[in-house]
Amino acid sequence: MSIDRTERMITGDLAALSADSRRGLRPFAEMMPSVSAGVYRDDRASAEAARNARADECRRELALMPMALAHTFAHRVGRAAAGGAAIAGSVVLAAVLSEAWLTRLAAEIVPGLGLPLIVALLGGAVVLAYALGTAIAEVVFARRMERAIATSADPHADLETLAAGPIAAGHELVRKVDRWSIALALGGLIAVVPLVSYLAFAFAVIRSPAAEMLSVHALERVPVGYGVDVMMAVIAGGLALAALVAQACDRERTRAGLPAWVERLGHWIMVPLGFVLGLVVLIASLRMARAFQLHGTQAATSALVLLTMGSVASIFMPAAWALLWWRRREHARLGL
Amino acid sequence: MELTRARFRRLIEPVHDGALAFARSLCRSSADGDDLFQEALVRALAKLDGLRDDGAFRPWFYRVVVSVHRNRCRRPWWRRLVPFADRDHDRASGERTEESVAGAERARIALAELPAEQREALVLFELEGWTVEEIAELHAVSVSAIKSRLARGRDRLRAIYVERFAVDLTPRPSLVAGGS
Repeated sequence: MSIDRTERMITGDLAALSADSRRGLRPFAEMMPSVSAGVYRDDRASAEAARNARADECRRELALMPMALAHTFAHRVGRAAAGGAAIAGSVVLAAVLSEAWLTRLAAEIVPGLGLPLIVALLGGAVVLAYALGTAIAEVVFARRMERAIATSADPHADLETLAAGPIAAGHELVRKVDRWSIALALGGLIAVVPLVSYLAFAFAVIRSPAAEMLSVHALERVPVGYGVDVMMAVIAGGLALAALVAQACDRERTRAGLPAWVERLGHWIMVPLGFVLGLVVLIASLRMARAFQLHGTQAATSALVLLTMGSVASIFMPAAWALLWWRRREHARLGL
Repeated sequence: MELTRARFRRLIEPVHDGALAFARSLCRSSADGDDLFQEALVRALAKLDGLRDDGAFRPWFYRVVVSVHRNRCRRPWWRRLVPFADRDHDRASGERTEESVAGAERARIALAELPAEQREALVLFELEGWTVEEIAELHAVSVSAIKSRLARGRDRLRAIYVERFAVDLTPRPSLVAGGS
């Protein structure tokens, strides 16, 4: 069937439907007898009947609700909590490394503080935050579902409460945490990985017994704080970009789609691009470390900024792709 | 209460026929549409005190119709399993030809397969003559979002027509109860 013929057919059928919908309309006074005659002296009984029927429907809806809705909400909250813990841990780590006296203080408070313990503490905090976040989210979801099917003494108010139903309430919860799960998860990765990598490099270039043991005491006489300050400034820019991605995802429904630049971030090409960029950053970092070892040459600020930007970008691109892909998968499962 | 009813009657009268036709177009049958409309009337009458500006009654009432319609769409699958055709309406009469009966039924079947948001936008735009700006205000979304829904809805309608009605230009017999 040609496109023109189909279009004419659709237009004609819609016109027929419009005429059909207006056929047989009774006079207005007949359609509104209760309003014109004042029959509604007390509509409570009918409201209660409608409320009870709707409450039954909601309970059946809740009983048959797919588990995917609760799981998606819980895991999104978990990701947001883990990302938040990673960002907080990075801020603490950056503060400890930025000043020599803080580094000494931390080493005295936490005996044996070194790179392995730092990684373990950060990793442990992230995992714990994820577990706690999902557990709390499950409780919140269950309580919201209870409210979605609850009834009271006021049937009219109940009809309003029950109007949406538990599935709509669940969808709303999932949408509410969408941007936080994207922003904090992306931000956590951007904050942690470059900082820990910088720390690992610092231990690699410093020649001392403490450095060989990966102890923070090795950092007391080496000006790593300067590099950390520069890195945190660049990482802050990366966090702002993560917030923009999250905002675009949050507005997807009202804007009928994601902006073009976010759509491109969701393309699989981001993974190999991030990998290649990471390799370039690694090679440049090794050359810089070698120069420091051989000649004591400290990296220029501009070089440090570029390296950090490259490092952040090499993590941002594949991480954004992964999070956007996972989000699309969740939405496909939930029919959002 | 008498004042509320009188106010409601005054406000609903000019929009009554258009809103009823809209409700019927959204549903699979005129009976379902009438039922939807009656439920919307009850809901609107109960909520009328929340309407501050009588001039905004038309979009406000259509929002109530859309809300009731979406709630019905969320009902479990077994409640939507068997759509009853209008036994009084599926025969051609002096006012309607066989072709217009079949055309209206095709349009109902095709619209029923669209997501609720696209269906509402298409019915308001194509059948009720609303502008894109008015529809955007009704749904509290941007004009570009409504244009996108209209375009995707129309594309989807085209695909449904080609897939279902391309062979002999009439719906399959099993979809029309008591068909001629």
